[in-house]
Amino acid sequence: MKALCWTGVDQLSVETVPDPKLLNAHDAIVKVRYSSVCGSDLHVLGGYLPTMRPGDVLGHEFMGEVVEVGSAVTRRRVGERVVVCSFISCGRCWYCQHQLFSLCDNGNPNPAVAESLWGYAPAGCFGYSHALGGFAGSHADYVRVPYADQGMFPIPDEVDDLTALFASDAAPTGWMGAELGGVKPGDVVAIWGAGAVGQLAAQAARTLGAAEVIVIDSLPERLEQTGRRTGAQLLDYRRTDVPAELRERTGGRGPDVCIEAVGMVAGNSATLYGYDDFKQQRRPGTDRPLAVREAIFTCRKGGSVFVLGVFGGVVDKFPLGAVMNKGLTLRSAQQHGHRYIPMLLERMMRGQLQTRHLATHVMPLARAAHGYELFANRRDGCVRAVFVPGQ
Amino acid sequence: MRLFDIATALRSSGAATARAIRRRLSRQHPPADEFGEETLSDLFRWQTVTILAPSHDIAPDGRLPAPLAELGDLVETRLEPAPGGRGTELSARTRPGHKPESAGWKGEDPARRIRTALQHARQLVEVGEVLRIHPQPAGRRRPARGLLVDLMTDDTDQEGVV
Repeated sequence: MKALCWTGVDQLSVETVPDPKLLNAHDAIVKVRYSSVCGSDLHVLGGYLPTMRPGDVLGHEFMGEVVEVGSAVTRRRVGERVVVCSFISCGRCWYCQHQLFSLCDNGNPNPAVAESLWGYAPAGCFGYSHALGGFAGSHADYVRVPYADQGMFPIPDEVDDLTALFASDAAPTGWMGAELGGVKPGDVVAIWGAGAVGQLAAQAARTLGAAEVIVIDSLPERLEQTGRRTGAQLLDYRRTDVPAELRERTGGRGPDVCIEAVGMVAGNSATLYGYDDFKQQRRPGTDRPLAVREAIFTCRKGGSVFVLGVFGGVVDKFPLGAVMNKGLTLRSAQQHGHRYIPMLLERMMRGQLQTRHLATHVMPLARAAHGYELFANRRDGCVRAVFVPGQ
Repeated sequence: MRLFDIATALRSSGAATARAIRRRLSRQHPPADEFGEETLSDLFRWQTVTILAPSHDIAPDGRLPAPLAELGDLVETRLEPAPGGRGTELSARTRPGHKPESAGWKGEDPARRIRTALQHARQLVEVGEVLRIHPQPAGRRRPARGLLVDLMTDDTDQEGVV
């Protein structure tokens, strides 16, 4: 089959690779219909998470059709149209039983890599480095899905493929940020990042009753799309002083909930950007936490900060004093998709959750390297490049 | 591999890579008389996983899950209830007298072999099977360029690789 492989830092190629096989009784094989890029792919693509091997297949946000199931798969069947959670979770361990699916004890067959980086290993993830299991990704004709009864969700007939695609990762991630961030009716919610996850966090915050949602980014087309789709207020961080603007727009209090949806390669007009970038490129620091710092700094006293963006290692100039002295609640997680996907598909079915517009560039898998180039450089208004295998 | 690649890779994974290499190079254990007190303490430290199951499901009639049973009298084990409804703590450690050079370990690192056995035991009890990863689709591997990741991921279901 064809698959998009990581071949080195900022290098990709579509290669012919072996087809996946059922390796465990709980496995299924899915024929991929759509597979999306994700902002977190840029971390592995750029070598910021240095646990990729040349030849690894990228991609973790996808939907398709079940073409084969293992002997222990009882809830899914061949021919079903499914969306697959990007995280691989057993559904049986203590973490899964407590709805903390991305922390599954049994989903990562390479736990020692993550344990050395983070103390304990999270669940596995498709196409996202050997720190998260080393599983082949979804930018391919076919993908093996472990724990298929847990991670594959049937798509209602009323939901089209491209809409359902984002129930795999972006929509549950955004929902989780708003829900676990503690958004309540009447809250003012500030969201850093107007990409797919930021936009879907904004939709979720609205649904959970936020009185105002303010989204911060610098890309005009993303801000425009966010405003049109979510009704959020918009801030361009290159044109305004974000902390001052947020104070002004919140009666001097600061946002009740701050959601960071940017991650380790944040851009910013602040002076610290140059400092962080210098350290990140030379690796004494691994991440650029500009948006996290700003979220913590601007959050109201006693407020909540949720880090949705993906980080891999260590940062400095972390405003721990602000966290402590303002009594903030700081939370984070990789997405617990199994917890949210059925509910999100139902919302999609009822027309309450729109995602299709995020797929700004749909193209054959053969052009995937071009798709990443558009996405990484934010060219041509690209919010998400989506690949279609088999074309 | 280009020197630049080596330097970049080393920098990029920092301390973890350095530890990986150090561990890898030290897989040949020193003779027993070179063990200091601290090393011996580490060698015989209990390793534990918590399994969401009652002890009688983990070791029915005293029979341990196969990955641990296979280690026979190389290890001693214990089962204790975990607090807060978290199930059972399954622990294992090298039995005194079975140092790394003992024939039973077949040249493998005891701590890593025990760690693997515990993790596989948990998967067998909780899920019913051990999650496999190989073989799977991959493009053309370039061993030299992936060397450091290979070092880290080879046998990384075991403890102490990095």
